[in-house]
Amino acid sequence: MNSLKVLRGSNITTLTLFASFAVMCLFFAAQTPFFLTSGNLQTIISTLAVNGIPAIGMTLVLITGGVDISVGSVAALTGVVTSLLWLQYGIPLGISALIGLLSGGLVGFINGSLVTLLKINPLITTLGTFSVVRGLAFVFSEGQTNLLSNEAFQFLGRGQILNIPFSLLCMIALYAVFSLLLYHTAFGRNLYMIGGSAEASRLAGIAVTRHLLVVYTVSGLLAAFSGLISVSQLASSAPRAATGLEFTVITAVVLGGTSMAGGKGTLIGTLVGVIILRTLDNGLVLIQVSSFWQDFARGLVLVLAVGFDQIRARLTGRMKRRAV
Amino acid sequence: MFNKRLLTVFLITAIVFGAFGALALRPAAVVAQDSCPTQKDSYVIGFANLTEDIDFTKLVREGMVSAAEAAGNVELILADNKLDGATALSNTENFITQGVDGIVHFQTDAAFGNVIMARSRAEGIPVIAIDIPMPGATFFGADNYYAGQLAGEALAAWVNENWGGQADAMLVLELPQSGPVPAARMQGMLESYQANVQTPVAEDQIYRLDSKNTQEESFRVVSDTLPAIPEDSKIVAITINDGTALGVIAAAEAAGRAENIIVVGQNADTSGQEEMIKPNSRYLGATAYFPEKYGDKIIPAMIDILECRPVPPSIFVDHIFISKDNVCDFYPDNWPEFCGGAEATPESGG
Amino acid sequence: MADTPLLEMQHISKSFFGVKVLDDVPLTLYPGEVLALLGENGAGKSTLIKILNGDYQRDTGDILIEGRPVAINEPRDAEMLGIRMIYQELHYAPDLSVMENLLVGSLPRRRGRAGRFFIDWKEARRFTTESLKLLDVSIPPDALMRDLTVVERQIVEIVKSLSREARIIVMDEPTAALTPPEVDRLFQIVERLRCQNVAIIYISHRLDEIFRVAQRLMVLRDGRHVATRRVDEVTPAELVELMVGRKIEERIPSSADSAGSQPVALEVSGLTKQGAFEDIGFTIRRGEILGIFGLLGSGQFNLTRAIFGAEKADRGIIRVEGRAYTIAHPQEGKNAGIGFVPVDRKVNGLVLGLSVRKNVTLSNWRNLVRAGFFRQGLERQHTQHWIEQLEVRITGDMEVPVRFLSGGNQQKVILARWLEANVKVLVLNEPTWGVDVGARADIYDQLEQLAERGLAILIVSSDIQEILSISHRILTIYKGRLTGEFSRAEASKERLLQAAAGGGS
Repeated sequence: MNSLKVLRGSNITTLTLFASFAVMCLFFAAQTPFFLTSGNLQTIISTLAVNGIPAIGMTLVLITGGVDISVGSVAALTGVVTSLLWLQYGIPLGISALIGLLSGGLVGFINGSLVTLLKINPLITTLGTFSVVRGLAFVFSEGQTNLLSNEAFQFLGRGQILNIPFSLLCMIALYAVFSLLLYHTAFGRNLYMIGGSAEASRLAGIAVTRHLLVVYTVSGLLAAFSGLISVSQLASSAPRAATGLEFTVITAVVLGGTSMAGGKGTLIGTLVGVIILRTLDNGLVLIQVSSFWQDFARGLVLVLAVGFDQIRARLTGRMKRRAV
Repeated sequence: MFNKRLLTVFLITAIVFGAFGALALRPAAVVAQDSCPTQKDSYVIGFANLTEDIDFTKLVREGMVSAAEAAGNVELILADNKLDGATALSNTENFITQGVDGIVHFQTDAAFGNVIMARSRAEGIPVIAIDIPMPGATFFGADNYYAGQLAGEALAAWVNENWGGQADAMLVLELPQSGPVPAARMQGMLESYQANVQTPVAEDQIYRLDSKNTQEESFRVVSDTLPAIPEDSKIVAITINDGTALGVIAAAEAAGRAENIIVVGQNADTSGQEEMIKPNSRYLGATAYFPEKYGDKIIPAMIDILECRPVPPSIFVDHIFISKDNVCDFYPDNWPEFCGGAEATPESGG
Repeated sequence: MADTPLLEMQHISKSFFGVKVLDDVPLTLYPGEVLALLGENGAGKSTLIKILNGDYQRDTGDILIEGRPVAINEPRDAEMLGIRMIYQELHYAPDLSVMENLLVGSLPRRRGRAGRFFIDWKEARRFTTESLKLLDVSIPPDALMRDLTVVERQIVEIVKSLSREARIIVMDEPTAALTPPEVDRLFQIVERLRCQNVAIIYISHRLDEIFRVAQRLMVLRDGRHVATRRVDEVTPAELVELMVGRKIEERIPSSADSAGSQPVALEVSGLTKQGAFEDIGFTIRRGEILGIFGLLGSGQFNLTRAIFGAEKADRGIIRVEGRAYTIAHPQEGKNAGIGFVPVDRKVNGLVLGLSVRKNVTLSNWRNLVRAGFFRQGLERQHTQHWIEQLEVRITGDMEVPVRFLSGGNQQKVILARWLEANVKVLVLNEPTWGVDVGARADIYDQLEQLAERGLAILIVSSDIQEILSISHRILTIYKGRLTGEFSRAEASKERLLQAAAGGGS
C-alpha cells in the first residue's frame, strides 16, 4: 500500500518511465550484441553513483521548490581540497577526504543560509556559489590536475563487494535511507508541504528555515560525496571536474517526475531517471553515435518523456470530467 | 522626443569631428615610410592569453614574461581572453587604447579573428597569433600534425617491440567541438601509427570517442566502449591531451584491463609526466609543446617584425615526444626522486 | 455565558511605516461563544487577527488567556495555545494527499523508541476519515488536493483547524465559496463546537450569516474599536451604519425601461460546450444590466469565459452589435469589444505588483500612442480620469502597486482598464467577492452609471442579494442550461432560487 503511495504523486508515472526504459533497452539490444553483456551491465552500474548520489540531494531541493546548480562546482572543489590536503600538507587521506566532504556541506549550508535568511532566490544563490566555488577550485589547485593514486581510496570508486560495485552499494544505501526519510518521517513530508505551499507550512508552525538549511546542506554533502567517488575512479582531481554535472542531475530528476515547481517528486523516479540517462549514454556510445547526437538524444528524451506525460495527464483529466 | 533629437545632434557632431580628427592624423602615419616607421628604442607589446585556468596557458604566459625581461627593451601588457572571442576583441581595443606597438593573441574563436585583425590592421599594429591562426597575422604555434606523428611513431615502435607488432583495437579520444587543430593532431597520430606498426588496426576496430576535454567524460566513454571489445584484446589509445589520457587509463584500470592497454597523448604537462613515470605505467608518453618556451620565440619574432626584418608567416614549436626515458633530460627539477640517479624509486607524488 | 473571558486583548496598537493600523483596540472572547468581527476592508480586522496568530507583532498592548498574559511571537506559539486560523485564502500543497494537508505539521508518529521517528500512516488515515465525518463529507484521505473541487478544498481547510484541539477558532470569510447547504452544514459544526466550549471569532461580509451564527459582535472602523454589542440588540441597518460610519439606504435598482428601445449589444445563440453548458441563447441591449444567477458549479463561469474567448465553445454564435464573431481567444473577444472581469481578480485580472497606472493601461497602450510615440503624460491623464470617474480610493498616488488597494478599489481598477479599452459589453463574474458593504454599493452605483451611458453589462453572481439589487433582467442557470428569465418586477428570492436549483420557473 505504501509502495503505491511512493509511486503516486509523481509527475511522470513510474510506469511510463519503466516502459520507456524497456523500449530503450530493447532498441539498444537489437542494435548491438554488446549491450546486454555482463561486462557492459557492470560498466553501467559501476558508474551510476556519480550522478545518482547528487540526484538525491537535487530531488530534495526541487521538492522544496528550490534548485541547486552549484553541485558540479562543489564536486570539483571537494576533489581539489581532498587532494591538496593529502598531497601538499600530508594530512592522512581519510581525514583529507572528510574535510573535502565537509567543505561541500559548508557550501550547501551557505546556499541554504542565503536562500532562507537573506531570501535570495535559490537559482540566483546557487548560480553565485556555482561560479564562486568553481573559481575557488581553480585558485586552490592553481589550475593543476593532481594524481591521487592510493589503493585504499580507490576502493571507494572502483572496489567491489561480491561483484557489486562499492559505490553502487553506497548509492543504494543512500536511496534507501532518504526514501525512508522522505516518505515516512515528518521531516520528509514537511519538505513536500514546504514545496507545495510554504505559506501553509509556516502557518502550521513548521520550521521552514531549518528544513531548507538541512536540505541545501545535504545537497552539498551529497555533491561532495559524488566528487570523492569521481576522484577515486579517475585517480586524479581536476578543478574542471564535474562540469555540467548540475544539468545531468537536474535532467535525471525531472525525468524521474519531480516538478521544478516544488511539492512533487519521488526518489524512485529519480533513480529510474538516473538509470535511464546513464543507459542512454552508454548505449549511444556503444552503437557509435556521434557525440553531438548524444547531446541531442538526451534532450529529446527529456522533452518527449515530460511532454508525453502532459498529454497523458490531459487525456485522463478530460476523461474524468466526462465521467462526472 | 526631445532626448532623441539631442542624441541625433550629438551623433552628427561626433561623426563630423571624428572625420576631421582622422584626416588630421592620417598624414602623420604616412610620412616616415622610407626607413622603418615602427622601429623604436623600446616596445610595448600586448599579450592576451587564451585563459588563465589551464596549466598550459599559464606556462605560456610565464614564458612570455621571462622572454620579455630577457629582451630588455620590451614592456609586456597582459590580458586574459577567457576562451571567448568577444573578450579577445575588447582586449584588442584596450591594447590599442594603451598604445601598444604589437599584439600577441592567443584566442579561440576563429570568427572573431577577422574582426580583431581588421581592427589592428586599421591601427597598423602587427599581430602574432598563437596556435589558432588569424588571417593576416603571423602564426606561431604547434605543428599539430607533426606533433601527432611523433606520438604515433612512438606508439607503433612500442607495439612492434612488446606486442609483436599488432594491437587488436584502437581508441581515438578526440575533441570534435574544437575543430581543425585537435583534428590535425589526431590525424597525425592515427596515420603515423598505422603506417609504422607491423599490422595496422582494422578499420572497424577503431573507436572514435568524444573526450569533451575532461577526464570524467573520457573515463565514461571508454568505460562504455570497453564491453564492445573482447576481454583479452590488446588496445592502443591515442588521446588529445594528458587529462584525456588519464581518463582512459582510469577506465581501463577500473575494468581490470590495464595490462592490455597502452596510451599516448599530447602536451606532456606535469600530471602527464607524473603518470608516465609511475612503475608499470600504461602511459607511454606524450608529445611536448613546451609552452614555457613559446615566449623565447615569440618576443624576438615580434621585435623582428617591428624592426622590419623578414619573418616567416608561420613559426613552429620544436616538438619532442616525452616518455619516462627522456623526461629527466627536459624536466629534471620536476621529478628529483625519479631523476636522482637511482631508478628504483617507484613512489612518487607523496 | 461564563464569567471569565477565555481571551482578552487589551489596548492593541500597531503601525506600519508610521501609519496607525490599529489604535488601542480591545477584544474580549468568552468560551462557547461566536464573536463576529466586523468592519470594512482596511478597518484592521485582519491585522488584529494576525497579531493574535503571531504573524505580526503588536506595538503595544497585552494578550491574556484565561486571565494570564501570554507571549505570542510566532504562529507556533498561537498553535501551542490552541488558537486556530481558517484563512480566506487557502494555503495547501496541491500534490499532497488530503490527510497530509489536514495533518500538516502534526503528522502522527508511531509508538516505540525507533518508531517515534516514523509516521503512522494508518492512524493518519483513520484520523482524517473521522475528522471529515464531523462535517459529514466523504473525501478519500488519499485523494490529492489538486483533484478536489474548490469547495472540497475549503472543507479540508476547515476540518484541518477543527481537527486539532482548538480553544479559539478564527474564521475569515469561511463561506465565501460555499453553497447554501454547505453553509448550513458549517453552521451546525460551529454550533457543535460552541457546545464544547470552543470560542469562535467569525469574520464575514455577509450580514445575514452574522445574525444566524453569532451571539456578540464587535465593529472596527479605521483601526479603532467602534462598538461591541449583543447581536439581538442591533438591526442590520444599524450594523451597516456602525461599519460604514454613515447611513446606507436599501438599494433599489434604477429602472431600465429605456433599455427596451436600445439596439442589441450582445447576442448569444446556441452556444454549447460539451460538459459545461448547452444551447445558451440571450441578448443584452445597450444600457442594460443582465444578471445571470446560478449556484456555484452551474457552468456560468465557463459560459462567460467562452463569450470572452478564454475558453473555446463547441458551437454557437456570438454577435456584438450585430456582427458575428468567432471568439476563440481573449484577444478576439477584446477586439470584438467585450470586456471581462474574472472571478479571481487577484489571479486572473490584475498584476498585483504593478502600479495602478500600469494596470489601467495594461494592454491598452494603443490609445496612448501619438505619432508613433508612447506618451507617458497621456497615460497619466487617462488614468487620472478613470480614478476620478470611478472614485477609486488610493492611499498615495497612481504609482502605488495594486496589491495595496482594497478589494473594491481593485475591482474598480479592472473596470477602468476595460473602460479605457472602450468596450461595448462588459462581463463581470462575482464582482463583489471579498468586497465590503460600503464599497459594494459604490460599485453598483458605478455600474449603473456606466449602463446609463450605453454600456451593456452582464453580471454573473451566486449572491442572490447582489443579483436582485443590480440587474434589470435576470436569467437563471442550472447544470449548464438557462432555466428561467425574470424581469425586475417578476423576480424574487424564492423564484430565483427555485429556478437556479432546477425547479423550473
